[in-house]
Amino acid sequence: MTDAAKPRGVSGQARVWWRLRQQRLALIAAGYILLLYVVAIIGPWIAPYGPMTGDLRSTLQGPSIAHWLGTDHLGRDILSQIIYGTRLSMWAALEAVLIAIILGVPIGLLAGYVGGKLDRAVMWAVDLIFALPPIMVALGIIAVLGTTLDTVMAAVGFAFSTRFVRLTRGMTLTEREELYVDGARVGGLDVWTIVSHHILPNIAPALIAQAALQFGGVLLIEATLSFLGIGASLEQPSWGRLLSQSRDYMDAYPFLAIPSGAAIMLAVLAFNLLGDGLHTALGRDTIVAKRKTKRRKGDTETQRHGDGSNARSLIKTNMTALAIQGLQVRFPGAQNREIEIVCDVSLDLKSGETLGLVGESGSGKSMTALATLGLVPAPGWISNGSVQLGGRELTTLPDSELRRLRGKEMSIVFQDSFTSLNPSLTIETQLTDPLRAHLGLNSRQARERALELLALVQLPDPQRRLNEYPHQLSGGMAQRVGLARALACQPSVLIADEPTSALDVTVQGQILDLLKDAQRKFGMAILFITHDWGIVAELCDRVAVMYAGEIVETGKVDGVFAHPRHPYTRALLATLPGLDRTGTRSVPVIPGVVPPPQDWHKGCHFYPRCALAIPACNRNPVPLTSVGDDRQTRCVRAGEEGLW
Amino acid sequence: MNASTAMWDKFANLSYGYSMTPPPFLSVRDLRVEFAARQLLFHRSRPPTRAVNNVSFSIPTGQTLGLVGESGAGKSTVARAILRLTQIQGGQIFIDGRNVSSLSGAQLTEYRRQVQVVFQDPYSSLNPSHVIGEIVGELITRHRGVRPGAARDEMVAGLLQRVGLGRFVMDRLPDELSGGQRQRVAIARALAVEPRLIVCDEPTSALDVSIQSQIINLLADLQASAGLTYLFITHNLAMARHISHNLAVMYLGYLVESGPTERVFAHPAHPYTEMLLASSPVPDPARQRERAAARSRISRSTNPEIAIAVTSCPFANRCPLVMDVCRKTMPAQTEVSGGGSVRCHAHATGLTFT
Repeated sequence: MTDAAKPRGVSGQARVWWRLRQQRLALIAAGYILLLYVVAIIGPWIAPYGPMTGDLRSTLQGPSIAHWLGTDHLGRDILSQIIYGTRLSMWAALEAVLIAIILGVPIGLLAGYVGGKLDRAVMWAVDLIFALPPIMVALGIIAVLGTTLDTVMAAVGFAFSTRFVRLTRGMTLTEREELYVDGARVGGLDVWTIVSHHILPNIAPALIAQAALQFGGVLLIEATLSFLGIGASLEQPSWGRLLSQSRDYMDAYPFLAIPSGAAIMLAVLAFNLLGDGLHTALGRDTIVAKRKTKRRKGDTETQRHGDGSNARSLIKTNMTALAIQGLQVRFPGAQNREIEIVCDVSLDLKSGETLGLVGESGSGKSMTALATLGLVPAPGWISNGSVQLGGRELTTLPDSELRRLRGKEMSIVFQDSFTSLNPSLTIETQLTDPLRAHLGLNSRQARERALELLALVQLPDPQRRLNEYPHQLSGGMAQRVGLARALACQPSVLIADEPTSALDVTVQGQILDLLKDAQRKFGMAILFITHDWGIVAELCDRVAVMYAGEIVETGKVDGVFAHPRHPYTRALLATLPGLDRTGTRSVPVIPGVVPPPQDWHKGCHFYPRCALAIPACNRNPVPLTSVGDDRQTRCVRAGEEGLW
Repeated sequence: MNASTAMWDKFANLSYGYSMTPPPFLSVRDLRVEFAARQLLFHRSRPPTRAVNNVSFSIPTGQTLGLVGESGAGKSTVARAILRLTQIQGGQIFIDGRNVSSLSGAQLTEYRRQVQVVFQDPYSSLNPSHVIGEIVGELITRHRGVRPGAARDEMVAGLLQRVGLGRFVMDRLPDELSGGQRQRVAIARALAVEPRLIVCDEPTSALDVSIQSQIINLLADLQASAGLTYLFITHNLAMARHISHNLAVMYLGYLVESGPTERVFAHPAHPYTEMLLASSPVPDPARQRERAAARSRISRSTNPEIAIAVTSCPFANRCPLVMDVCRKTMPAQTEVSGGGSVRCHAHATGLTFT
């Protein structure tokens, strides 16, 4: 998802609350747990009977008005015992989890941050304890320290602390690589401040979620131990002991097992649900969004149009390879509003031509590319406009048809080929799969063709590379493979989404040369997305400049560079430090930043930052108007003499 | 001052060829950083990877050294060594003529007051769970002993104002700011200790084009007003040219060329520098098409896949001017007319390829 689609201006806490509210089950679980603790605290005042007061005249009774949950074999009220048991179980669980956290988290933090020998020693000990079931460890400690409930829970806490050590250490290792930790070190802060003040707050959410889950585990162990007769003494009412007693009367009075069993099960379930819910809500950048299945109206009409134009497409490919008209992409925003992140984009791409699509991040250029391929990520959708490939309408094609076109008629090279190549498949599989699927080649033909393609992109030693995996390639080589795959079926349109931005400049030059060679050979049209004006200057015939979701200027490259006709293009070109510009120490700047989509103005989107702005700019949407010689600009003042 | 330091300063001054040059604030001599190779079970132990090999340079007080090169060149490792974030295996680092490569404890803390950093990625360099007021104020408390409160808030607001931010951002989390604003916060944080050297590790590469120039101007203004010294790491040559007084070019752990910026751009002495210059696109269609044609001729004449000997010039397999001697011995550092130095056997022959 692009920057633009992320909710901005909402504080982190508010977002967590929002996410938590989306999860009804977790909220119900939290409510139940709260209720348990309230009962645990005020238990002695609300329980109808004492926990140990029995009435031998009424033993093993079913639920009645006097005893809501019946009585046990000594005539004690079950409900009262459950209530007192809540007090004991909740306290025991809290005790054990607190001990586990207090022991485990600092050790994990230090082991993860300091590393080296300390880390190895800690992990060795933790692995040893981890290899034993926690209940065994607890039993061992109990054997030494005795069986009061507090020692039992301390033992369980100790056994569980290994889980916190592992989790904390793992997250600390990851967090340690973040630059803000380096910044803290350069700031001269000591180790303890860095781990407690800088790292801990960032891993705390996951620890909290983990703690909730561990509560459930500890409750079960407490119940198990009490069931076995260790832990809570006979005088202490505990859920586990209640369950244990019911065993003796299983045949005569099976109902006895139900209240205590249900209490245990519900509490454990609630903690687990809350833990899962917290995990989702507190996770960084989790996207909790439902896909909107919306399609624009009038599908059938355009469908027919699309089919009808098939016959003409052969003639048309010689002229317009790709035509985008009035393309709009929307995402659901806050309060059920729709946010438009691509507004009214129109592009024409002729065969053999390279069109540069330039813009800053959040300008919508990548989204335009994805929409062209029918790949708008959920929950976004194309809300209006048409995309025609060789005269065939794509926005109304079913997914299965689109899939057949992608990779064959039109393909894409991404910025980062490592992530766009499947790490678990060999280069051969990734190259031959589209060849076999789209062109129906058999495996030998496909392999031969794959070798040709690798030769075409000048990958050294192609025979050997075919059997390798993506991680064995360098960034430049991975990009060559990505390009080979995109060219596999000789598409008529190639979309290149910043294919060289992650590469070194010398490698970038080689990839640009390859693209030019391939275009000369196959005559495909290239839509080249970039923010680098130097590449536009080298590679492109025409350029379209995007700002805040709109195309603000299009035209032939030489003309746009020499005489930009939109204030944004002009200002942007002026800010570029040139290789040949002698170092005047101050560069002209564009004030402000690209606003997020929900803040775009109704009129000209560039209005708040424009040096030439007049009140008229902010009144109505500004249309793209022609200003001669294949040039269009979206500016109210485009026609003013002397301004340009 | 002992004899070796005196010799070094003489060399440093020589290498910039200025008689007017202010004394160096930072000098790095024969810096060597190695990363231990992963030891695999049942494998012979492998030699460590040299990330930085005998790198020497110095930055005059109040000036900017642009450190350029591609990924894997070792630029950031040099920065981390200077920031004492990574262990060094050889060489010395001098600040104001004082050897700082083995400081610890209170002395290291004092050193941290003088040398600060601005990282490339403002999305990861600011603690996501701290508000801006704390991020900037933390170092004021640590180094200047001002406890959190109204007085510290005033100081933070003053710093934020210096980097062009209003005090309202103090209660915000980094998440709520744009990339450019975050980078301003990172600069304010660096300024909080009143440092004399700021290591800028690609401070603009993660930012949009229109924001980059804002940050560059800010850094230049701060240098002019506070007399800051910068080590400016970048892979963008145009940016380097704009901000640097001197340039140092690194390739695979070696410093292959250094010198005054204008000289390096006008008369590059190392073929790699030439290749970098030829590969950097300029925003001028007619000129860039010409340059691209020249670039293609160069890159097609070399084969980077040929393995090279450990002792050879690291650039030998990509160099269009490669000679037999290049594959056998590492060239020594020699002086260049017009200022600076170069490590290239071909330089003596006077050959160039453009």
